[in-house]
Amino acid sequence: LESKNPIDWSAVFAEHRPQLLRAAFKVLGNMQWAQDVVQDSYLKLTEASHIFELRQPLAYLFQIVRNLAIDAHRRAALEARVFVGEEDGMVIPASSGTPESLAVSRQDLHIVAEALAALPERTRTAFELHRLGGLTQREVGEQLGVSITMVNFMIRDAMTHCAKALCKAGQ
Amino acid sequence: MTNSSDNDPVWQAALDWVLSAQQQPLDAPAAAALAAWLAQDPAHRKAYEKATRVWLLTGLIPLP
Repeated sequence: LESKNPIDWSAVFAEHRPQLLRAAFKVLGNMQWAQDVVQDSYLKLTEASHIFELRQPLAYLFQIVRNLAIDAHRRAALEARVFVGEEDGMVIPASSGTPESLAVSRQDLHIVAEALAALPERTRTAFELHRLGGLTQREVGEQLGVSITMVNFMIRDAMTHCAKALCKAGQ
Repeated sequence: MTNSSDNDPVWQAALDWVLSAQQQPLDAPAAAALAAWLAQDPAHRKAYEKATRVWLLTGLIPLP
């Protein structure tokens, strides 16, 4: 799936760096972490650009930054909760650096993309609307004309299907 | 990982945590409950890590 029109990612990246930093900072509230996430996004992007034909490169770049920032924020909050004494109730991260990001390989992305593509169409649509379209489960239900219970079931099904595919590949 | 079967209660609970945290950020009591659940059993943490990993990976797939 090599792209036929290679995009000069370093140029796109350099041009939009301030906006990308701002997007990451909005989620993380910490400039050092935001810088780490933006840097990490560039690495993930180069992996992804080998397997996907990216029609909207800039939108995709922001998608990566947002998702990595949310994940880094989640892990920082969890670390703070686990490592800081609960009684003092402080939510101060245990370390000053960004929690080490999960290794995301080209192979992992490929496996997950294939797993999603193999889902029944309605399940895949429900999952994509929720995960990538940012719709709540209720909104997905309204859009597809199904119950919220069904939406929840389909999203779980999609997650489980991807987990099994990764597991099968030994990831 | 062997415990991601559809009916595995640990996997389903991990999905609950991951999916509910996307609807709205965990408040302090929920975050404490999550930390307690994770500390309960290494299998809980393993399932949670797996679920968050899948969630992140699916977010890195470009929209069609």
